[in-house]
Amino acid sequence: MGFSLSAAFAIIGMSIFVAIEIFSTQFSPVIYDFENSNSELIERYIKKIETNINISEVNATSNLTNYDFNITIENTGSTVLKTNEINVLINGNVESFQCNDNYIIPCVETYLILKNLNYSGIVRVKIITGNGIEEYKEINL
Amino acid sequence: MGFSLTGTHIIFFVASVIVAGAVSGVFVAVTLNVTSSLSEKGNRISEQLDTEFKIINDPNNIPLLSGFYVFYLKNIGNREITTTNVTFQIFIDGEIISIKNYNFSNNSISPCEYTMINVSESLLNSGYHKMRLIGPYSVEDEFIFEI
Repeated sequence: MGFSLSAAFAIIGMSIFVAIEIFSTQFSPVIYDFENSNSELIERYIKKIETNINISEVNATSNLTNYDFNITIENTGSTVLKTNEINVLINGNVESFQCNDNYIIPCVETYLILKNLNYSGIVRVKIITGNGIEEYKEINL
Repeated sequence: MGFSLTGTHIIFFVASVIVAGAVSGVFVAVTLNVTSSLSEKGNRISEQLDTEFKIINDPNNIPLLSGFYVFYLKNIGNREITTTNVTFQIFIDGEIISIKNYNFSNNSISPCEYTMINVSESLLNSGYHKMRLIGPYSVEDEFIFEI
């Protein structure tokens, strides 16, 4: 009777050990991923709060048929912005641009150059950063 | 009598091993199921936390191209987003839009990239509208615009 009880406890004890092993090995990577995603989410929100831009100036130069735009933007936030993550909308249309800088550090201006665009009248410029912070400016051509 | 006592012990032993084995089997199986479900749930939550997108249009200027209004959807999260009319549902002014009436320019967008959502022109009259876009893991964005 004593031996039977010992054997039964040994088997159940072994299964508890296996169960704990399964739980810890399968679940710990998930907890790590969750922690990682959570900290990235917090980081994203902090960066959003720290991100701000200002469109200082929009210059449109006529090239006889169309216009070349030179948009001056200033990083008025406290985080570094990547220019390849910026989108420019002119009157609602996404337009491609050239920029000599890869990054815009805080309190520094950079220039976005858009060439040969066919717009007239009131032109509304919208700049969107990589994390979705946006700024508008209107000019009259 | 001596044999029957030994036999009884053997029967008890075998029975206890069988019962313990069955209990262990059930316990391990339940643990596996619970762990698997928790892992899937944990992964889904992680993916949900990583997913974020935004409609970046100018609300006063929605481009109209070949019978479709164009909305720009930017991935502002940390994970690639699958952009199809199966993974995304669109509500305009509270009404769900049939998947026949919209499509995406790309099947997926990486972080900081954008894609175009083409919504049939016939669905939108002039005036103000509210678009609610529900993507993977029920992540959503709202956008009020004027046609």
